[in-house]
Amino acid sequence: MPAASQIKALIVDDQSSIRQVLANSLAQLGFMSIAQRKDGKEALEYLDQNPTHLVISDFNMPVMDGLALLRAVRGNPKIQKVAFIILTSEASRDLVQDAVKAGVNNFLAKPYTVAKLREVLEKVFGPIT
Amino acid sequence: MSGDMGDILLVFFQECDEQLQELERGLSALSDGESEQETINAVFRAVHSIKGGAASFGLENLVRFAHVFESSLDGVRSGRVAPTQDVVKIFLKAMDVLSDLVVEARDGGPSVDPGRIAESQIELESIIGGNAEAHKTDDVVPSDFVPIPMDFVPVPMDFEPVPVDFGLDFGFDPAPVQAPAPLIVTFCPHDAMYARGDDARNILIGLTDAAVAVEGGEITVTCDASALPPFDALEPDRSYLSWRAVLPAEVLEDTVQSVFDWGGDVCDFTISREGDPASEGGEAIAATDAQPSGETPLDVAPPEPAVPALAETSSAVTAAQATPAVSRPDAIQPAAVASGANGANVRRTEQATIRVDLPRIDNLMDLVGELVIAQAALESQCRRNNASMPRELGECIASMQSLTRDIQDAVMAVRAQPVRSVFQRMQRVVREACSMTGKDVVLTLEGEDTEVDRTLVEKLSDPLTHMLRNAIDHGIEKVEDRLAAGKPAIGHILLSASHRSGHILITIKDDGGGINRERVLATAIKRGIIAPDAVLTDDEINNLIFAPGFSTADTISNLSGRGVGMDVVKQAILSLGGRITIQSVPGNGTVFCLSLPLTLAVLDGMLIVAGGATMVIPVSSVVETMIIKPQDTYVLPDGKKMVSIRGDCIPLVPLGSELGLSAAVSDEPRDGAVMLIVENESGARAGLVVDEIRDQAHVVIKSMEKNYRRIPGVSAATILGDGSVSLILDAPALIASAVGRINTKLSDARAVLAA
Repeated sequence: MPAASQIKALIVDDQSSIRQVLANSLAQLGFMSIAQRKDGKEALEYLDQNPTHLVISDFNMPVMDGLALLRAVRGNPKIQKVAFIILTSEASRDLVQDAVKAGVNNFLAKPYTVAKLREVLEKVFGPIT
Repeated sequence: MSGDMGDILLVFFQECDEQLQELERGLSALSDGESEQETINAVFRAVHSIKGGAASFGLENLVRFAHVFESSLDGVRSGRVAPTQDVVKIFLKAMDVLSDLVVEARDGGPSVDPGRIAESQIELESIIGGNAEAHKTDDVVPSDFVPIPMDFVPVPMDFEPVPVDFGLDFGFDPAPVQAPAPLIVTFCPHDAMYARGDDARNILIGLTDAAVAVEGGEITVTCDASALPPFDALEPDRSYLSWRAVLPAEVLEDTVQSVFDWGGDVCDFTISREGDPASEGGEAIAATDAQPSGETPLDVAPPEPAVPALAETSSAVTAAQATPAVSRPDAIQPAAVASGANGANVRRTEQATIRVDLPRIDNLMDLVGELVIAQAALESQCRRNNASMPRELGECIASMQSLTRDIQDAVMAVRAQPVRSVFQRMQRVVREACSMTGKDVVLTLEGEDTEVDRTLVEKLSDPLTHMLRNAIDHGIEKVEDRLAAGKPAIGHILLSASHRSGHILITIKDDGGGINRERVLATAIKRGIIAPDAVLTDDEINNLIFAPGFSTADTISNLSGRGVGMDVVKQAILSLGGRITIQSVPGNGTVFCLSLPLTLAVLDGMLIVAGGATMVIPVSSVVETMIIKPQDTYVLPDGKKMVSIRGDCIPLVPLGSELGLSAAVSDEPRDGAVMLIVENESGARAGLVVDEIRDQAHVVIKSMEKNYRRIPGVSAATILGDGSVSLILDAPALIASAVGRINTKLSDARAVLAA
């Protein structure tokens, strides 16, 4: 039962507005450590250097997309234990199964509410205080 | 989500603009026949991102349309539909609708015609053969998916570093360090440093500056607080802390050495390369030990285990953003100093550009304008009060002048923007004009990266729109006529931009029928613009289309307006301080050239005196200056004076009397009078006779129109260094007046100057 303030989160999306909205929502849930990166490659560089518990990533990004990031994370023993949540939308329907196979922890459908975000997170981490 | 939402929404709309540009670029490439998967992906991603953002902000209209658009694009992306020209055309049209919907969402302004949306939607759906699935996301994830719980292993917050407990090691390879190795700087201030008011912070800032001066450079600083005594033993005026910084390998030792030019005498410091024995802690401590013991209360615990560990970490991460794993966490606190604590890590990727509110830059520009005036005032005061100005003062003023200029250029560069955004918008103008006229025209863009002041970029949009519509409506012939004339069925318009000696030159070149001079002439006579018996050159006839109230379209078309088009264009260009010229070859097409200043704020001017008044002529329009020889002047039967320059005869304009300032003075150019030869873009020249050339100065343009009204022959006013107001002359208008057939009257200017 982790405190939200203890969870170190990384948001990966190519749109800065989406990242900011998500960061706002996480902050409302009490998150205190929220990093942002704009594609999978940058996210990997960040994860390599910074202990992180939670990655929330979009599917569709330039350079390296969410699925490739997920696979890279799971394939790297050093960071593979991070919780990975993927943002989904209608367009990513076909990718969901691939994400499940790659070991995604949960999905967050866009658009979402803060309550929904909490629900999705608690499925992974247990009740968040 | 609180008041931040408004700001985030603004960011979203800015992103939408970027995505739309991306979309435009991608679709243009596709319509040029490119079929790279990455282009298709980029196009898809652009629409997808707009949709995703819009959904987060509850912009339903936008989401709905973007969704249909996205579904169709997905058809192309997945290879189910080929991106044929017809398909791309539908996408282009949808893009226009999408961009209007974005504007609608942003401004809440006039809503987009629902019929247009529906039409585009149907076309989009026809591509993938059927309805796009309804927009819903809840069932994207199969119902049998079970979220995978995660064991949570807490990692303490920043600044309480504990070895990372993922049960894994960081995998750093303490292999040989590549040369050149990162630069390691240690320093430990003496009490004296603080006593004299200096601060270790200044040295850290200096080191940071040195590090970030390298591209992508970052600095890692660790503070050794191990010498801190228990709180009750702490003496506030003593120095207890020392620091160790790792800088990028590219930083030179000398650069770092210079950081210690100040303060180096009151602290111990070492500079070494990683792997160098000197960097191994011991050396730094030795230096500390070497201090006079009375001055150094530091009982610095040698950070033996810590520093080597750090060294390894740093070598592997090449001094970038590490939160180093350290074995003495209680003694050493890592902190990235790059741009303020943690922000450095989080924001790293966004440092390349920053968004600045426009009013701030405008304000900066205004202030720089005032600075230019103040600088000129200072200079003229110094000259006036010191007939023999000391050389040093002169040098100071000269260096200040060049700095002022540099600042001005720098601010201008901040405001500069490529014309790309407005050029790309023209593609849409052409598409719409084509669909209204039923003609097929391809617009080619050149020099989109040419940069001009952003105020100009915005103001170009309307004139260019008008001119392109005109070119398509009147210039490009109907398909039958084109084929009959042996031209390709598809018309071609080239829109290009380039820099030309302090000006930006924009040309619009079409391969249409050219200007029909007989018809222009007949119309102009019919409308009473010129006398029935006027004899005009081809150029002058061409220019008639800029006359107010002129229209050659036999039927007023929906598209290019009601005969006010080109007149309005000309006024718009003139008000930007620019000029417009036409060249037209019957049957071959027409070229419009717009010449615009790079900025609307300042110009390089020549200070002249004529008829007792000091005036400014833009240096850019002065070709040369010379002394008139009486034997070279001629008087024509109608009283006009000409001067022969190397075999060419050009009209002579006695500026003072032309402006009504010295009508009493003999119009006869005195022997030895000074003449400026000025030229307009089409090469016409005239010689302006002036009393004196006084100086050359950078002047700040103050609009006449804003404060008074437009005056032919005068383009603006300025404030000179001595505080006096002076007029900036419009050389090409003076030439036109001297050549004197098109009705440019200077009487207004006379009235103003006489007042």
